[in-house]
Order: sequence, then structure tokens, then C-alpha cells
Amino acid sequence: MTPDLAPITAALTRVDDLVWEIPAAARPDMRVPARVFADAELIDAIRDDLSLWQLANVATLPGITGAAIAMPDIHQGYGFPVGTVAATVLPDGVISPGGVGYDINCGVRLLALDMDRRELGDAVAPLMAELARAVPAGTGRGGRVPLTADRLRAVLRNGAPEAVRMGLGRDDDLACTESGGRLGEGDPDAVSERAAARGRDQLGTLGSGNHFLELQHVTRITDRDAARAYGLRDGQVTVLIHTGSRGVGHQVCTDHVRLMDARLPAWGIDLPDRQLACAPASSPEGRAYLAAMACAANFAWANRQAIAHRVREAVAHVLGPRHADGVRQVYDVAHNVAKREEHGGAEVLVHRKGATRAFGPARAAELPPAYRHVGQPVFIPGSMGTASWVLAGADGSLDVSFGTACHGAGRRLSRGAARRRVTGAALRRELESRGIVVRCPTGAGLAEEAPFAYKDVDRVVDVVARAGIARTVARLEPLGVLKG
Amino acid sequence: MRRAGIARGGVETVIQRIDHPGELELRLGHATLPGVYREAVRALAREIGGGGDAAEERPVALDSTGPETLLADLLNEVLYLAEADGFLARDVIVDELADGRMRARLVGGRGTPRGLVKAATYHGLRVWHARGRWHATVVLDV
Repeated sequence: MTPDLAPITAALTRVDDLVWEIPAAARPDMRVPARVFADAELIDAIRDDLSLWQLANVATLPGITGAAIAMPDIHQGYGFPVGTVAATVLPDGVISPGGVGYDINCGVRLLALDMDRRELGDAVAPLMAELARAVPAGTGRGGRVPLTADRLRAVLRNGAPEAVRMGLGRDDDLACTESGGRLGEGDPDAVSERAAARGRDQLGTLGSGNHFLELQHVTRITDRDAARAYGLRDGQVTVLIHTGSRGVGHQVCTDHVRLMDARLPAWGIDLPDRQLACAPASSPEGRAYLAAMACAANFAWANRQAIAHRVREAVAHVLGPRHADGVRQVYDVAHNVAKREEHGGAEVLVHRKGATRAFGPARAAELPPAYRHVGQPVFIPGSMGTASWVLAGADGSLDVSFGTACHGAGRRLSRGAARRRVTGAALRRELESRGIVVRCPTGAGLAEEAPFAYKDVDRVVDVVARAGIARTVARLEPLGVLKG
Repeated sequence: MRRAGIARGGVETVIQRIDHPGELELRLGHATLPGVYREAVRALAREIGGGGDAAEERPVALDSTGPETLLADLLNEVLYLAEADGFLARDVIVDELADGRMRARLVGGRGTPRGLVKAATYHGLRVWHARGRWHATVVLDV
């Protein structure tokens, strides 16, 4: 049944060059406004799908405060649009699993090598080959770190620190991971047997879809001070890892959407979209989901930790152990998660679905010491074959977006539409003609991630920067890409 | 959008596959309600692979709040078995169906999922009867 978009699109008004708003009065069930960060060109694309209607739906959640906010990379999702941040007031504001998504703690980790493009020379292809061997990618690919039931429970409870205890990485990686790679409220007893079964063989795996591992180099630095703090320099070789909690997160979300949907009548909650199924955060159902979500988030951090370890092993194999020791983690950010934070003097539950925390110096206590004077790193991957950006979180984000920035370029075309426009083989040839080494087992998977399927990442980042949410630090361009 | 109108034993089925930027919508139609569930499993099998010609059966017992959530539960059962057990269902035999309760057998074989489907969502989830036919819509997160 097609939703009635007319009241929403008619009510969309321009607040300034970068902000658009649907007032709460646009629909009787909206509790707060819906607000979009976009320039004139991006808003036209946003109007083409159901994003704005879905954003207005988010504005109906019980306990929501401020506004339902969309980043410039927003696109239609299910329940929450992708690229959204929404905060509910604790203790009784709701938690909505759909506001986190199925891929709990899908996120991005950036590693920096101790060499530049020139020094890497012609080692790109052999390094990509070794990375493809070392990091399982694709659907159904088992990991190289099989977990016993007890070890899986430990990973779910402890996250990236557990992976380090297993010998997968270094302690200094944890200091440069959001939340130290662990949410403390994780309770493995809250994770279903099904979710555990799906995750048992997936630690250290990339997955498929839009997950990838990319070898890059720094091609432009726009903030020398922040780049110096992050340890980035012109021409430096980097590795960007994009993946999440795999089947653990998918099952946790499935389990709890189901549970909460069944309980909505008991709470007297009526929602415009069942995928927004929610529960008061203080309820048993709300607490159970938060405990399970934390476990899935912990699994994702452990997953990226394990993959980072494999990157170091690959570097050791191809470039030598000295360079492997020189691989340093810049940071690791989550872009599908809900976190308890303080904003505007209130404790709130911030749902970030396809959106990245972007704390500036005002939140220094939550940042690694070396980054406190510049703000946290934020990573914005572009589409495959285009550029990615490193940003620095700005204090302005606290004023306008609950300390949140975008997470990527945002899809513009469906996977099917992308496959109809280009074959995987043609896209591979085009990327390789530009010197980019491509490792992807399926042509269809490659075609789905074609650059034209995404918005212009430079434009998305420009909006975020001009809005004072984060500032640009460095632009990274690909040398090789591994995807499932 | 892709549409298939397939006559099986004189019963026309309708499957529309509509892809959106971040997900895939299935629109299904069949003369019978069990037939709608069967077409949903078959449509999902086309996305993730259907276990070849093997005829292994897996019993399924689902108790849901209604026909819509039953549809999501059935498809999520297929996804769980595919990822956790390497069992790819290509069909379902519905032995018992009453409101939100289903007892059935998934038919398929061993294999690795071909495409990524994370879950059957509750977004736009509908099952309804109109003009002498059963209809359903379900959105898959891909």
C-alpha cells in the first residue's frame, strides 16, 4: 500500500542553505519536527524515494526529543531511513531495534601503514592477493577463528578486548576504538541461541553486500593540525575496513522486532510502520534488546579487530614484519548503534542508523588523548572506486545533530538498477584501467556497488562540513578493493 | 520491477520483485493462502539459491501473532537455516495453517547462500484477501 506522501512533501520547507524541515504539525502523529541536512541538489534526490515519509514516521516515536534528523546521505530504508539520528529521553523513551538496523555496529576502521604510495611500489597486487586470501569475504564464508560456545560468550560480552586477549591485535588498537571496542551492558544470556549459532563461525569475516576492505593512499590533506594528530600524511598508505556483526546482529534485530511488535498493544503504542517496533527502554523488553544489541556491537568490534590482525599478517607476509609492526590504527567508528549519551542536560538514547558519532573537543573525555584537541575521527567511505574522507568531529554537531555526522555517500540506485546498467566484468575493467586492483568473487556483487549507484561523496561531506558538524581532514583514494 | 505470472496446475501466481535503494520488496498473489507462503519461499530461494534438486525436508513449527508475522517468521526461518545450517530451502509443503500457526516442511538441500539477504522485515508487511485471491507484500533487507 503506497503511503500518502503529499502532506510530507507539501510541508517540507527550507530553513537555510543546508537545512530543510517538516514541522511536527504536518501530521497529527508527529511529536517533533523532521529535519534534513542537504543542499538543493541532494534534497531533490531525497524527495524521489520514501526517505522523508520514513523520517516523519521516526518523529512519532514515544519519548523522541528535539527532532528526527537526517544526514545528507539519507536514503529509503525499512522503518528508519538509512542516514538518520533520533534521540529518546531516558528512562522511559523507547528503544527501537529498527533504529539501529539489522547489521548492528556496522562500522568502519581505518589503519595507517608506515609507508607512502611511492614506497609501496608494485606491491599493491600481491598485497591485495594476500588480503583476499587472509580475510574471508562473501556470503556463507566461514572465518578462520572458530569459536567454542564459551569463547563466543566472552566475545559477545567483551568485544574487541577479548579479540586482543585471543592474540588478534594490540592494546593500542583498543585505545583508538569508539567505546574501547566494548559496550559494557552486553549480556550473552540476552542473545538467542539462533543468533549465537549464526555468529559462531563468522569472527574475522567481511561478509558481502556493501562490506569491503580497501587499500588506499592519502591524496589530499585539508586540515594539517588534525591530520598530524591522527598520524596521517600526504601519500600515506591506509587500509579501510567496512563490516559489522554479520549474522549475530541480523538475528538479534529479527528476534527483538518480533518480540516488541507483539507487545505494542500492551503499551498502547500505535506506529505508522511496524518496522519501528519499540519498547520503553526501561521495560524488560527494552533492557533485553539493549543487552543483546550491546553483545552484537561487541561482536562487530571483535570482528573488525580480527580482520585488522589479518591485515597486519598480510603486510608482514608481503612487505615484511617491520612494516606490519608499523601498521597503526587511526580509529574505529560504529554507524548502526544506540548509545546512552547526555545531550542538552538530559540522558537520552541516541539511535544512529547509517550515521556516525562525531564528537568534538567538548567531549574530550570520551576521546583518545591524542585526539582530544581536534575531535574524533569520522570516516566517510565513498562508493567503490571513488574517494573516502577522514573528517574530524566538531562541537557544532552537539548543537544540531546529537553529535552525529553522515556515514557514507548514500545509495541512489537499487542493487538491481545498478546491475542492469553495468556488468561486473565491465566495472572491473574500468576500475583496473584506473590502476585499482579488484578482488571480488562475484560479478553481480561488484556491479551492485558501482559508483553511479551512490550519491556524490564530496557533496555529502561538503554539506556536513558547512553545517559545522565535522570538518574535512584528508581525502583517501583507492589502490585496491576487496569485497564479498 | 519484474513480474512473473506462472500457471501451476491451473492456479496463476503473481510474484513482483521490486528493488529499492536499500532493500527488496516482494509482492505475491495466489488463489490460496498456503500458496502465498509457498510463493514467498520460492521467491526468497531465487535470491539466495535453492539447494539444487535435493529433496531433504526440514520440519517447521511457527506460532505467530497473525498471517503477516507468520510470513516474516517463515522467511526468517529460511534465512536462519541457510546461514546457520547450510540448508537452502527452495519450497515449502504446508501441512497445517490456521491464523498465525503453521506446521510445514521446508524442502531443499545443502549449499552456500548465493546472495545476501539479512532478514524479512516488518516494513510494509501485509497479507490480505481481495477479489477472490490472497495477496502479500514483504520487504527484505539486502
